[in-house]
Amino acid sequence: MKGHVASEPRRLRGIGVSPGIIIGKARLIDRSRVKILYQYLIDDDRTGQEVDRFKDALRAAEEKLVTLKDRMTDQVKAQSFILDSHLMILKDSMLGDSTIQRILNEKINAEWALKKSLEDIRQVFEQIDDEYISTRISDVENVVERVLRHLSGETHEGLTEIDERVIIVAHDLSPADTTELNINKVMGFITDVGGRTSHTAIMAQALELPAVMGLKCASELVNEGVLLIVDGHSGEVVVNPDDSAIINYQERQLRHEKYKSGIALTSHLPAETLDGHRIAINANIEFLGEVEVVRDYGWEGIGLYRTEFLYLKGLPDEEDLFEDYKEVAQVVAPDPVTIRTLDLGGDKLASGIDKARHAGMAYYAILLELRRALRKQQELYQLAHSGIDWKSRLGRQHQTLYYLGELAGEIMRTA
Amino acid sequence: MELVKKFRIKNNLGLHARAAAKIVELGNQYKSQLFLKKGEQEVDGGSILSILTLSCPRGTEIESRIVGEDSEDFMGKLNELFEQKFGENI
Repeated sequence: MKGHVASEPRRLRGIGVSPGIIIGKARLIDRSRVKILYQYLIDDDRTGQEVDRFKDALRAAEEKLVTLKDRMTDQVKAQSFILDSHLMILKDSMLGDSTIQRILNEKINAEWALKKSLEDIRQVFEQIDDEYISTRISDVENVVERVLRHLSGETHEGLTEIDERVIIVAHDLSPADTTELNINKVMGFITDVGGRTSHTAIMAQALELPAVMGLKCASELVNEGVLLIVDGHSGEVVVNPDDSAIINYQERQLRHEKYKSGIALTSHLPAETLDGHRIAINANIEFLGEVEVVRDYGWEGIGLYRTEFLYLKGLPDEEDLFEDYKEVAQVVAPDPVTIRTLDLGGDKLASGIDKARHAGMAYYAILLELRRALRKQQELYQLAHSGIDWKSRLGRQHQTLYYLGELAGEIMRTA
Repeated sequence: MELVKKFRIKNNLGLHARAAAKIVELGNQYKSQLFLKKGEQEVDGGSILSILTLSCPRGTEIESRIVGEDSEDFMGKLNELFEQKFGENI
């Protein structure tokens, strides 16, 4: 209906973290920070009371997390470690003890002391040269936020109670928030912050809830109740879509559903042509973690394991690489895996690398391969033929290495 | 009693939240106290945040020191945890 003032359609782009297309009404969830008061405590009685008040809030937050964990459905049970780690952070001395010390020593109120503890932890985390770990500060923030809410006595709208078919729009959703969502009703969610490796994204995938994160300011641009289209694959969000956009996405949605159900129906059948020619369906992966996902789709092995990502943090230890290859082979067994040991062209690295450098990288890669090939040939060969526990066609891998080794020799001779 | 042992982080993701949580969980079952040391930095092995701040990617060598009466049992189990890559398949 176009009764009231129709706003212009607007397209936002974020990070698609959990695939699927949904069209529905926006429900804004205010997960903004609790406003806190800063107070000095004048006498020792007050500091004692303040410590008790803080401990009560910790306990209340803990109870809430335990309840959430108990209520987790089987679908997300595997992710319960996320709540476990939140519980552990809650009990961590860097958070709890240090806050209590602050209340007593600096004679400040619990909220302020807790905030200070968080800032301390943030400082330490910011210095960590590891993206995965440094982003875990968001878990600490989620936990602190939870405690602050209990301290302020503020009860926020329970996500559990949402029983309309809506798309959740929030600045941030904690993994715990995500488990509270009534997934039979909530269609999916979009958030301003977060990315593909956030715990919330992992939860969304486990719940098969389409989600887009990292939209920066969606929670400010989107009004309550407006129509949204969310494409959890491409990361595109259309606010106030016009008819043509709706039709377009509905078609895509249908295609996606059809595609998915088509796959589900037939993926476990052998891939065979009418005249009986068997074709192996293999999946390409970059990370070992992907094996589980592709396994559901009726794979017959890993056609290509791209290992270049192991190099992006610097030159990996040869032993580690070998262990990694072996691990993949073991997980994939008895199905075969083809390992691409190294295709380290400049295209795998940051964009903007110049051509000369690109060529240099490729050359370097070949040299590395040569060295490794000579050294590892024997071992891989043995692995391939010792396959009693795990049969894997590492023989092919061995051939690849050999080929690359020869190629490098060729180049070195002509260079 | 005080025991000291060196471990190498073998799992792909390094000593991340889930692995650190398992160490803390294990420690909660013992009276002894665990300290983890990387380079010159030593932290409380009973604090998940402290462990994370050590920032140990795969391949890192860390030294664990356990102080207390049941340190031997504790070290044994800790060794298993590291060897089994914190129960991760990946």
